[in-house]
Amino acid sequence: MTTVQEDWSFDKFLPSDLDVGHAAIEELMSALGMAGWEGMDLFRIQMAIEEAVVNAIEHGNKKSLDKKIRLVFDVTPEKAVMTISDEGAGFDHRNVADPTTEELIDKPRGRGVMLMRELMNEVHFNEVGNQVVMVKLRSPAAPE
Amino acid sequence: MRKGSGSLLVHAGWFNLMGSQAAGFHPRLAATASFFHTGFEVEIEMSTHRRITVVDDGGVSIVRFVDKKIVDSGSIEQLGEEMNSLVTVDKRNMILLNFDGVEFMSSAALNKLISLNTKVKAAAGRLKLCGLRAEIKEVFTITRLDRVFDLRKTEADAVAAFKL
Repeated sequence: MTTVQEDWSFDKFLPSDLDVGHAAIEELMSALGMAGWEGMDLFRIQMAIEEAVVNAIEHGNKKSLDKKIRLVFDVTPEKAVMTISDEGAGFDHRNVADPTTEELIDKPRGRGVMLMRELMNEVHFNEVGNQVVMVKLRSPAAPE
Repeated sequence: MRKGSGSLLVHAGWFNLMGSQAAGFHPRLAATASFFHTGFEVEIEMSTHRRITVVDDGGVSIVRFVDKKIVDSGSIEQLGEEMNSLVTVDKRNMILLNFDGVEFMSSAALNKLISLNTKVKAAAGRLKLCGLRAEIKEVFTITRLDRVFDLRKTEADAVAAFKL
């Protein structure tokens, strides 16, 4: 039987560097694994956090090394809460174009926010759009 | 032999050279490289790329991915260039992307597939995908890209579909 670790928290200000961001995501994924998360839930969280962190570094902070991102993760065996903040100007999260429309479906961009909303249980942006809180509840185990 | 691909006889000394220059090694140059004569010989298939491998099957170019997790932005850029070069440089237009072994891909990687699809269509070709694990297939479903791409379960299914 898998040993399930106790709750795990992470709160760091990090430079706007994708490698640093990915290293933090790896820490999160490892902690989720230790807390007993697996399969589809792990994939969905990785997809959503990847989008959020890349958005914060590339679109929020424009990769400026003068600007930081802040990552706050709280993991329990049943719930994962991830808060991603950047120092950018934000964006109009209420009016993100639907990437599934006929005009946009074959355009190579614009799917990140949609994926975050679809893959997480809750996604909340702050007013200006430079902070997002994502909540994922662990899926019930499939019947044996 | 298709440009930049094929089988090469590699001698033991070559491995050290490959290891020391791995970061800057360009596979296309390998076909013209000379080898040391230091002993035993090993026959290996030289890949023409670093992020993908390509095998021809009856006119269909079957592409497999080197990385289990397609997530690093530099690797994704390189992947995009290598896939596009299949069409723009090698003039292939029947392409099957086999995702066996791929555990994760970000939407940046998804965008490269969309670009490849556009290039294949412009070359009057066909692009199919196979071997997607359930998690990745869900991403295609959510984004409706399952209507843009021809997704097949297995490589055999996909190769057969090219012949329809």
